[in-house]
Amino acid sequence: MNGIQDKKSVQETWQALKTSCILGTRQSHSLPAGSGLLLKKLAFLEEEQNKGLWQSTEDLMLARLALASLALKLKAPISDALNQELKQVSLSAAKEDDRAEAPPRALSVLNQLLTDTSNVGQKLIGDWLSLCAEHNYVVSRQRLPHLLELFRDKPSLVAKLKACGGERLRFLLSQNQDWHKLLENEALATESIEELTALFQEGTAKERTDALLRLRKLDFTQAESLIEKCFVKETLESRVSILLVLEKSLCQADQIFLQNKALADKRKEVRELAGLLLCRLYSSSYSQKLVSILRQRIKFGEKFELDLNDIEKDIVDYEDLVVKQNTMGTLGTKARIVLNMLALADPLIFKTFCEPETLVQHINASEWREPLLYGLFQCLADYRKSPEKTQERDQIVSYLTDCLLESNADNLRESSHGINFLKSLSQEKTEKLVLSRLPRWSGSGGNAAPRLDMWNYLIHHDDDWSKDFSRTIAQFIIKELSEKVPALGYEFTMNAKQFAARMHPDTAELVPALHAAAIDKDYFAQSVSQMAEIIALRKELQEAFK
Amino acid sequence: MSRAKDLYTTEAVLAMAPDAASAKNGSDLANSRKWQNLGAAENCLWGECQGSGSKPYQTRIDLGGPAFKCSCPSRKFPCKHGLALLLIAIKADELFNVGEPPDWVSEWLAARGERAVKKKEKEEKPKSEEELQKQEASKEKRKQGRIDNVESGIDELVTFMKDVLRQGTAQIQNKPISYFQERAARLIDAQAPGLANRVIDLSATAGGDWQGNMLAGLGQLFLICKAFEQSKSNTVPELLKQDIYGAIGFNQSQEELLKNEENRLDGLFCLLGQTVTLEDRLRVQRSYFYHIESGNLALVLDFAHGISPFARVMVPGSFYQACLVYFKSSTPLRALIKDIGSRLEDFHFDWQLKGETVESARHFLSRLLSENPFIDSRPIIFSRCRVFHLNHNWWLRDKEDNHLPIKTGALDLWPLVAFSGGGEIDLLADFDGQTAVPILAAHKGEILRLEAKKTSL
Repeated sequence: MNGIQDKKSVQETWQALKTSCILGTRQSHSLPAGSGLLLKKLAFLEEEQNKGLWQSTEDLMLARLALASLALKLKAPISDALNQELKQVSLSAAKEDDRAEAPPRALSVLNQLLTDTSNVGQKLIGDWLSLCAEHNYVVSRQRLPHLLELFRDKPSLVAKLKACGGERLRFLLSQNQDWHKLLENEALATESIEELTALFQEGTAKERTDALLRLRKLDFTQAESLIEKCFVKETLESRVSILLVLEKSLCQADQIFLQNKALADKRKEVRELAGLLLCRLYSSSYSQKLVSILRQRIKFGEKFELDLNDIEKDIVDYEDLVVKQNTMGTLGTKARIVLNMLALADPLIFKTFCEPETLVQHINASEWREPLLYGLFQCLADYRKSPEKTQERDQIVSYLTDCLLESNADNLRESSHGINFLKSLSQEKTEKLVLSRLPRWSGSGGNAAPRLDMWNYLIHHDDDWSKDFSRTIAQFIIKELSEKVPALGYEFTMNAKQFAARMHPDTAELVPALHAAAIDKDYFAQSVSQMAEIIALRKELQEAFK
Repeated sequence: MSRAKDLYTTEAVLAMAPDAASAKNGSDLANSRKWQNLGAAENCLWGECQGSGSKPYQTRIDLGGPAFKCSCPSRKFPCKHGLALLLIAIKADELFNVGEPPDWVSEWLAARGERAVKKKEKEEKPKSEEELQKQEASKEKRKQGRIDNVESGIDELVTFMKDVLRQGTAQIQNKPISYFQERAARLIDAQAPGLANRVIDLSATAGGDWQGNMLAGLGQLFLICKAFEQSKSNTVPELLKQDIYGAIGFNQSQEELLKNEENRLDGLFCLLGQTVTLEDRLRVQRSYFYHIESGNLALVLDFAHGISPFARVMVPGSFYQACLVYFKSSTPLRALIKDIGSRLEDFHFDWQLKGETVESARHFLSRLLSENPFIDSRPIIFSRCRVFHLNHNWWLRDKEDNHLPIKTGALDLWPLVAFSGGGEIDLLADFDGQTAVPILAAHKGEILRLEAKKTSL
């Protein structure tokens, strides 16, 4: 069949045959002029036709197709030119990993986890990835593509995968641009300022915010000048989106733009957000002016004094944030002003008033207790979002937090500000708080705390629980299951799996006791059983890497 | 202590699962808390698992096969209990009490042994001369009847093909699918299922070069029809005749093939991999065997209806001492297992698979086509090749730096990139002369089976 492999001549002949067949043999059945072995063979078939071997034109055409279809299989699959072009493509290879792949037992657990797409499942997958990195293993290489696809919209899992993906992950990211973009840092390394600027100017809403965020990290001045130029021309939605990008990477250098452009915006939503961001920049003149007003109006000496006369004149610049904001519908205007001003203040102001214990005592004794307390809750909660954390501020925030937990733990769930404060607590402080209240939650009578509150306290935290705390809570559940009316309500049954996903793996020792305690407890049996399963799975996860 | 850990890996056990759900359920059940009376003897495992029934399910495994038996009502094979029991034995064999198997295990093992002996006896029992003659005459009569049927089917098919060409393929796109289905049905009636399948393939009037594909298909059909006409003369070699009959859909008697000594291939084989496809409610398992000594490939097909089990459970990537018998063909590939031993343990293999380059594969296919022009494609090992993605296309680069386009279809090739890390691999692919469709990849003793892209978990 030598000669038939000539790609060009076979292709041309086949094309001619195709054209004839598309039109139908009634209209066309002649062969093109030209050379090539296939054409010669086809011409030979035609001679046979003349000798009467083929009964009809269609017979001849079918014979031609039969021969040409074989030739098609044997022609060169690609042209020499394309082959040469492909030869120029330099192929890279992954470096050898110095870490071993995760053991089969761990991979078997991962398989199991990958079937659960719920939040709990994702949390456990994250744990698996963390343990894999911690034990100095890498993920089995064949699974990487599947995991990358699965984690497409889950940046936290992608970051964890990065820690245990090893050289093979690095290689895959270099081969697939879609995956490459999943890791922001890698994207920064290759995307140019020009590309990001163009993307911000012409991209979709999502692309624009992503590009701005990346550009701010890559070239802050360029990013700032870009938004300075375009901000007023943007739609309301885009202006808010730009400010939300700033919120994610807020820094002192944003002050000028926020003050001059965003705060002067015609729309209240933009001004509010800009004011909020400026207040988080404690060293900004906007924040400092607010602090100085507060200092003039509030006195904590031997006696607490609050002067609100004609305060509206002082706070004209803060009207949107302080006067119009009313998160608590029951508060009057002045109470609202007090709450919002305290909430937005630099926490260092509290240091200038008096000792934290005295301050909390004064607040609790004041006729303005509610706005002062809620404002303080919010101020402490928002401190974690400020880019201007200092040791001095950390100290006062921590000190005030302890004082409030000591004296006002019962008030945490009264308001959204209290809940925000609760959410901002460190895991250690939350555990301490819950443990201190556990006897009251499980008790009865006048001193008992609202029995089902405990689960609301715990639901706001995503961190893993300590070993002792996990054990105590599991024992508490076992004890409560034997009570006539267990302190396990809707919040517990709905979130039992999430709680279990945070419990220490060693709590698995109590799994049989949990199962035993849940027997015949119709309402709680399923959730306790699910909880026990998850705890056991966490233990298995831990063991699988040993 | 059981031998399961030495014989199988977790991955190998999960590969035995009949479907993804069974693999998941088996993994979930591989928890010792859910089992009782776990036991092991030299070549078997057993255990009881509490299911939804009142009595626990009794699960037993013959490690030699492996062969599974469970009292659960599942029709899947192996069931999740069988998989789970084997997984536990790999993970924590210390949980198994070593001792004499209970009656329900030993009776099953004994019955298995008896069945094997009876089967062998039946196969070896001689038939009388008269019986043989009668059998032969009846077979010949049946065959002639079928040939007559096929001839009439082919006459109609040729008329149909001429009609298509006379009208022109431009008209075909407007035809309903029944235009081809009715023709295929007629060929089924004429006992020519091979031709019927090819006619159904013609009906794909969508996508890139559908007219080119259809015309090539018509050419191939015509070739088979003409070859069948010629096959009546004695000038056509016997093996080519078998290929012509094979293309039409005639089956070769497996019993006779197994008796035949000519086409056997004995020795050590590696089961490179298995794929399962669903064809008309029939599950077809393709097992690719690599003959260590010669580097020849053999393709063993197993069929199962619905979710019923395949006849054998074999572990991809494992080595077997076996005797395979090729179907009669001028280009033998499909084979039957005449005899196969247990999976070999601790077999050392350097994994230097004998394979082809792009050029040698083309020459090989050219030679095959000159002997058997009815083949569409051939599984070929491309040795030490690299696979890469460039401008939305996939390419194979061989060790001589020549390139071949890869046809992916629904296949996901990124796991292959992750597996190879951009380095050299041995790739088993279906090669049609123009493109390669990857089936599996091997590298340093590890095997990756390529699968369709998963759209979700």
